[in-house]
Amino acid sequence: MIKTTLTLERFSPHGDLLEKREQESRSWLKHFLDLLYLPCARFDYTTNDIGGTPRGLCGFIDSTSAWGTLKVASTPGNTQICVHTASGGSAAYCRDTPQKGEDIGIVVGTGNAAVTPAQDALQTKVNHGEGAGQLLYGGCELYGLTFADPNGQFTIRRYFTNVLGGNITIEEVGIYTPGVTGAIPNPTTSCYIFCAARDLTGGVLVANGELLRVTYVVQITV
Amino acid sequence: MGTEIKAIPKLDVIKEEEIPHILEPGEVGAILELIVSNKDGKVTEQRVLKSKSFVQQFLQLLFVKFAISPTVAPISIRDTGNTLRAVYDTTYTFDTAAGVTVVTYGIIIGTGVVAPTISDYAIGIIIPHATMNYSACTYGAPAADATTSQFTITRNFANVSGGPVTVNEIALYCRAYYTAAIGYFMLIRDVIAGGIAVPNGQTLTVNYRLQAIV
Repeated sequence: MIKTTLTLERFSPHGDLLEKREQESRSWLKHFLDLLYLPCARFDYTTNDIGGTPRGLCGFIDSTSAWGTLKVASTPGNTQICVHTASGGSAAYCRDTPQKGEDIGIVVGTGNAAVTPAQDALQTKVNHGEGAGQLLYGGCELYGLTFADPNGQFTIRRYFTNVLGGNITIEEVGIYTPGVTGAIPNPTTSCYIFCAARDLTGGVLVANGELLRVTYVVQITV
Repeated sequence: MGTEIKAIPKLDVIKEEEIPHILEPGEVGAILELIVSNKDGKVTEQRVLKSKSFVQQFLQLLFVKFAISPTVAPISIRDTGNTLRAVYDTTYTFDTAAGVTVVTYGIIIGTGVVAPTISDYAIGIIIPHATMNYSACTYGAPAADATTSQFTITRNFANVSGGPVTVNEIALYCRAYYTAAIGYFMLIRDVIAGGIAVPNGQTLTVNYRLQAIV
């Protein structure tokens, strides 16, 4: 069984911990299973991206190159992240499709609508930036893969900095991940973004200059 | 290794009312459904239980997938032959789509009764093909109701041994790529309390329903 803990920590501009909230994450969505189903079953499958548009995703390519579907680790903000795609069904045609770092990994938002399994996106994502209502997205890290019977875990973490955004109340947190389009054996060089998880926070106010650290710990127990 | 016979996978869309609800809110896990049926297709036994035992390799491969672990920074994962392999991400990661007769991946059955631990890397005692004939794995597409998302992996095992067979353990194996080769890794191992008896000539159908509950 897999359980996930979500922790939100708010820090002052000087690095002092101002607030810490820990809760059980309840919200791995259908799109997480959609993207796990693709390699598991080796079937193509169509599901909605974060814009609510159905996208035909490729289940398999007989290639030993990396494959971008279900990528969660990400680069900061609007720096480029390469998502591994392909065309022609061969490793020789593998491509790196550029995306923005803020569109993959942990994301935050201000919407507080209830979570349902089949929803496509955060209600109101806070975008990366230094303007009003924006936060600087750090890189999304994966680390801490450890085991001690009967448990195992790893951590997904991202920092968000409020530079000049005014007060922003984070009501929702989620995980975005890409899926590679196309059909077996011919994937395309395109990918789209899907919402794998979404949780409500109860509201965490991040003031100007403050920093928010969001941490998911994914744990299995035998 | 035996010749793999490719079969056309069967795709069933699971209706919402057929989603069993056993897991707790927030859990991601699997429901294990066991059905024994005779030659006429009549069900002689059916059990639905919570799969308890995602093992170490599942979390390691999820990490590989989330990180898109590259060839220059692979994750060391123990395969079903008890050898550590330097695994990196490819489209093979999590491939469970085994064909008929294949016992190296997909749903696997055995007779072992030792309780699972997180470091289990293989089924205790595998029941070979030709004792129980392994079908190809088939899949039910993802579906969701108001609280639960799921997809289903199914495999049939026909008892052709000439006598009864008791299945005590069930596992899910997958493929993943390591240093220039395809490896086989165990994701889940469940021990069935008391076992499930399959008389000669009857078929055991195993459904693993991977679920996420909000």
